[in-house]
Amino acid sequence: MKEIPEQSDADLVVRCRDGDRTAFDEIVRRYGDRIVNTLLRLLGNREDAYDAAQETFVRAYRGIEQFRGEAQLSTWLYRIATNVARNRFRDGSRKGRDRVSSIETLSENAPQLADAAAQTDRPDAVAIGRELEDALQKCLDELPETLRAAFVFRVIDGMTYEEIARVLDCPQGTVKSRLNQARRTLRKRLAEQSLI
Amino acid sequence: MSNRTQRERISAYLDGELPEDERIAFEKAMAEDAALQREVEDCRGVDALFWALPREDAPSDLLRRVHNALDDADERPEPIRFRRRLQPRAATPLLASAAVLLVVIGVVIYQFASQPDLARRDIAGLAEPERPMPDGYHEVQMMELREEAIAPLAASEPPAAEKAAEENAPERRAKDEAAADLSMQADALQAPAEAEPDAAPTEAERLVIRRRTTAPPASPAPAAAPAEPAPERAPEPPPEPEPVPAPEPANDMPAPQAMAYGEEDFRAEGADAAQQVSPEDLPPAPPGGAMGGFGGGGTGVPGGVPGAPGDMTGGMAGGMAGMSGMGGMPGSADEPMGRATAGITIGRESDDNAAGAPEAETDAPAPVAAPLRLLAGPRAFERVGDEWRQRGYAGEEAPSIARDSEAFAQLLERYPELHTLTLQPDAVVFAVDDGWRRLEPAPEPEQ
Repeated sequence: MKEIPEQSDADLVVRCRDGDRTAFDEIVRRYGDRIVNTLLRLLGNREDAYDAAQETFVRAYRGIEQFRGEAQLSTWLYRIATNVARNRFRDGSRKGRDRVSSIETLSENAPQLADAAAQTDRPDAVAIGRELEDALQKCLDELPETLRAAFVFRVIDGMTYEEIARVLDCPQGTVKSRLNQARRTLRKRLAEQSLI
Repeated sequence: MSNRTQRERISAYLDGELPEDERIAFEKAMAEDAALQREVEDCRGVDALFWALPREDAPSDLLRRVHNALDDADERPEPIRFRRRLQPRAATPLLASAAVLLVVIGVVIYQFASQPDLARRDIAGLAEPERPMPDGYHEVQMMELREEAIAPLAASEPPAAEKAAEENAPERRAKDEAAADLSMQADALQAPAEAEPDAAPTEAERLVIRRRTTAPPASPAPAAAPAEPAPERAPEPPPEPEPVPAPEPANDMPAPQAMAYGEEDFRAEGADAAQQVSPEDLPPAPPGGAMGGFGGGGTGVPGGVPGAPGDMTGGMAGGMAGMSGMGGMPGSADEPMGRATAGITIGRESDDNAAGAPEAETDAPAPVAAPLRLLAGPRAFERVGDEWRQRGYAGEEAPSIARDSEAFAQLLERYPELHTLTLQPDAVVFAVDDGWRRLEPAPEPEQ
């Protein structure tokens, strides 16, 4: 069976500009998970993340003519997603949280969660529970918007400083400063809850 | 390197963004500083916790939701955006209309601001529609305006005032005789060479330029307007004037009986109402002293002055000049200057309308080079280059008027710096560089 080579982002963009909606569908499939995950961490709940992801791709489809290809398609999509999330923050259109855990609940289980984390060598192997996830998300939500975005892009999405600077449209020095401040703030918050 | 500087590099160190030399220096500092090392480990733990957060996959229906959103957007009419509506082509008429509206509003506000007394009158008129028109200067102005507007009707059919005047034929005849006398004097200006040296006073003797700096002396009433018994007033006071008395079609104007007011009233108050209006009687002068007196030197008159309009419709613009802000009156551009003769035409009609003069006869300080718009006279002219132009209402420029009369030429010859001139029924007020001057007929020598 002959394997069909995967088309590059640039090819998909060209096809999309030509009105090929299947190419756009491929873009959605290719970047949907990443965009949704990032928006989930930025916005704090799934429903908002889904809505924002939908809006992100709609905007991308309508603005594909303006995409000049100077940046990576992923960077452009992240930038749109960041703007969508920022607008949702500012117009207060975020929906109710779907988390139920509270910091108090989390604190009660903190020793067990910490032990679970300590028993592993790899961070990604931590069997993180729903309560811990909610606690971490709450800490993220309490970060200022700019710090949160830098932290999410770096730690969760694994972007480089350069990529973050492009997405956030700011100097790399600003990214570095924001990341340092975000980490120190989170460290303090997590230490207060005995999570680290 | 200080601990603070090292702590600021924790993130860069964890992210592998430190240059090699800085990374080595940082690791060395971390080895020597347990607190720094602990902080680095804590931050690494923070990263580990958040990195370990479960990845959220896109919902299975994300693609369908995106398609639906796109399809819905295609079906919906595109919302009209403000920016689109303000594209240059579409916005130009809108902006132009707005600009015109603003200008009109500004002009109206300016007019009322410059004529607070008129504004008050109009406001008062709204509040008190039945308020009788008081005696005095402004009533005269308003009457003049009305008379000016009904001029076409007055010219086409005998006005009621004329009919009433016929009833007072003896008085009228006396006036006419006096007016004719003055007209003859004015006509003498046309041909000064024909004047006999020993004859009656020359034009220069009969017309004086008054430099009014103090209260005018009580002057005898001109022969043309002897004291008469109380006149018959119109049955009802004339209605309040319109705030913007631009020339309206004649058939929209009030009935001509209002014309009788000016003649009789002013004769009762003194034929030369200007001579008898005291400053206290006058309404507040508009800014710049439109109602104020006129400075000027008082020696002989060099010659004639342009004739005032020879009929009642010609010069009734006193109030308009000040109110319009530009001086002269509309509608008079097509009229000949007076009787197309030199000198002040003081005929019967002009005499009747002597009420147009009061604004020139006050004790207010003489304004110096007041702008044309402050003139209050039936006609105003201003020099535009080498040409004299008559100014219409609200600055509307009327066609240039041929100033070919001998009297006007003489006046310009004597006062080459003359730049503004207004004609009133019984006087000519003009401005030269050092102030305003008033030219009016000398009183009849006492018998």
